Amino acid sequence: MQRKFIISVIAFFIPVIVGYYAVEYATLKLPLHYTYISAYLKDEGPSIEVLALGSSQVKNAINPAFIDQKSINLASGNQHHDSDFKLLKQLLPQLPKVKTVLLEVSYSHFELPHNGPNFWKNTVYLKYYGVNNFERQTYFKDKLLYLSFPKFFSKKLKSYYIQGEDTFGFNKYGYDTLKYAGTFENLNYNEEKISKQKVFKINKQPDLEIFKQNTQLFFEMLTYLQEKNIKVVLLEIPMYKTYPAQRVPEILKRRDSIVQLAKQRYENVELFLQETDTLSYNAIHFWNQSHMNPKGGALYTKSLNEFLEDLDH
Amino acid sequence: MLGSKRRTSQNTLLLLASYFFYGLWDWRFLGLLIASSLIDYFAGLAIKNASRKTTKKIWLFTSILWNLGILFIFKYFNFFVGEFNALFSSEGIATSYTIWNVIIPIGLSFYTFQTMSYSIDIYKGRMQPTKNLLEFLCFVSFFPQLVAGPIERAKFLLPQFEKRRTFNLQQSKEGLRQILWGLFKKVLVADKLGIAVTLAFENPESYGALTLTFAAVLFSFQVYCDFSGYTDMAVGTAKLFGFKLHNNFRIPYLAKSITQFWQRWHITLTQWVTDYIYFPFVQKFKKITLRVRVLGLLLTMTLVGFWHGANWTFLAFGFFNGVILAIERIPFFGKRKTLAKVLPNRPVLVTLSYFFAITSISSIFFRAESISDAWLIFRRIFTLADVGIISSLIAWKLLYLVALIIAEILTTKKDFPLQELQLKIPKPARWAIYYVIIILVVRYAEPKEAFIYFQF
Repeated sequence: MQRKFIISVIAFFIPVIVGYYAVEYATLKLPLHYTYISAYLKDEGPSIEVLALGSSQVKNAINPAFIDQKSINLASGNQHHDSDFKLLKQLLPQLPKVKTVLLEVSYSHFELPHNGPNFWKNTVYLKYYGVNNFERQTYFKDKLLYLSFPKFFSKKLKSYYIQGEDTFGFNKYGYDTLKYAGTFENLNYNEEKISKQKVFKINKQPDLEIFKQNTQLFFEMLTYLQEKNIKVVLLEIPMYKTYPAQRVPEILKRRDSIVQLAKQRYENVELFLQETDTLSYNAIHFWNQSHMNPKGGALYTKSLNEFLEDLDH
Repeated sequence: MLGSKRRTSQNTLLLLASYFFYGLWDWRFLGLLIASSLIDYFAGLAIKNASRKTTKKIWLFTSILWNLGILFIFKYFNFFVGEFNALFSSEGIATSYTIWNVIIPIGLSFYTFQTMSYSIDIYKGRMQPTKNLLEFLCFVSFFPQLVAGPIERAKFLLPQFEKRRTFNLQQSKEGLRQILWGLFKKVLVADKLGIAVTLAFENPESYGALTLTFAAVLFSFQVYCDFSGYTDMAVGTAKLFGFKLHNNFRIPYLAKSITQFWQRWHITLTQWVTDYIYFPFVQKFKKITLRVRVLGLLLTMTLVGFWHGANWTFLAFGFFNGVILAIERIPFFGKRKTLAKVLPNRPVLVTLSYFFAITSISSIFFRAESISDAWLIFRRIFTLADVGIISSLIAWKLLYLVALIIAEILTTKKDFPLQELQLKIPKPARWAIYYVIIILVVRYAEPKEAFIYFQF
């Protein structure tokens, strides 16, 4: 009877396991920017000098190909300072030559909650960078990429394998040089049409409690980098001109005061603030109101490169 | 368990599995679990062996003090210190009693209640203590129900460790089906509803009365599916090991009064507080009048609220339920004709409206981060604030809920809808149903959502 039960259970679960394995395998084979970054980290880690961290705004804005010093961009969508800090602490031993860290201080960074130990990308960090951001021992399930966010990966699987969308232009740094398809491209970069778009993603909810927690961790991160004798460049990434107009003054004022305080307190901190530079960047440089496209990324990274060069001299 | 090994080896394996399971979360708190088990084990024997009533009482109080003590330290200490500091600072007196930076050991509220009832039952002569330490350790730490119940009585669960368990094909199959059903409830209903509920509750000023009321109703279902989903998994897992646990829920949303609701919701907790708090309290009085019963209900339900967590919102939740239960027992409609007796005979629409109105208010207290947040939501609901709409995001989530309600209503006499499925559906169709549920669970799982009741 037991034998029969066990055989039945095995027979039942074999298709489940095989099916899941196929999905997981297909997910791993997706062209994701993490794959390229992981390979680059492995190959070039010991000689990397500049490390960029942050959210999708930094991910889109910095193309390491335009930085003269050997650089890596570890920014990714929704990645907050707590994830940045954990990545930093665990990856620095693999990056002995890093002398500059680029940290994002976006308008909403200090008043949006941290990712926390249950952030789905912790699986990604574990799988591709070998970094444990779970704040606990990891288990087999933590390495299952598809299960970390089935909705997200199902969409990716569908568009890549079924709809045949495979126009990725990842360079060796994991930067997608063909990522133009988005809100602004759909509007033909027409400034008049863009200006009519009043609703887009922007945080308008001030939160003093979150602000206190976030600034505490932010300063811990700066202290950590100061102790390691690593230069820090705080970045405010350029936004399309309709974005700054919608910022909530209370959130903005607090963010600006923290940025200035960081500059005063830490000798190793430099500022590269271009959030409101609406002269150098216009519609053709953006993917949407708060993200640059590869063209904008190239322009921005070149000016960042000049800034980094100046810092060195 | 496979084969018919001796009872001791079965229990040893179970104990190791249970400690391993608990230790995976945080091994440091294993010591507390073991200490708690040992204290109650020896207290139980001492109560039985003591010849004098005073000695029995001392041992009983040792057990109760220990259990309530660790509950207080880990769960309530910071709350009281915080309130104490706040009270004195509002009076202009500076106090600086430090908040203790400690997490609540998972399952603490469940296993302390389980072991406390063991000592009390021995003291009351309702059961004999076990002399077998291994069996007792297994009873306290039995992993399927360790972290979120059901809260089992020693009289029911302990004897199951005392006999050798043999493999039961049907029970094992039912166990697997129940686990699958639990997964469906947790992943496809509770977690999905959770997204909509979180949106509304974390940002109430952005939503109108209708949306907030709707969110409160959804939250009732979220908690139900979350907690009963876990219970199904716990009961199902226990079945695989040859154990029977109590079902903690009997389709509570079909209740026609709040009295009925508490007979269908978290049943093992309701029974526990009835037997160990409500009855002992009312029996202290010479005459059990309506006033005494009302007082007993208010006290018991407020404690039930506080059991859920150290926050004024939970106290309000418990007290509010106590008030409603008390009202339902007052004979407004002539001698012995109480609301609790009248309501079940009223049209479904009336009882349903009453039930959801009360549970929604109750849910708001339960879910809100603070009392002021709860008031804000009430204010917006009762002033008919009309900002925002019920988004399609919320509407889509309802599909799973509708499926669940239909399945449960069609199978009200069963413990769970997939029970005894083999009697109605041939194997290929059954397996197809299982595969569909598994695919849905894997495909539509949201990024990690913890079980709500783990925090209690």
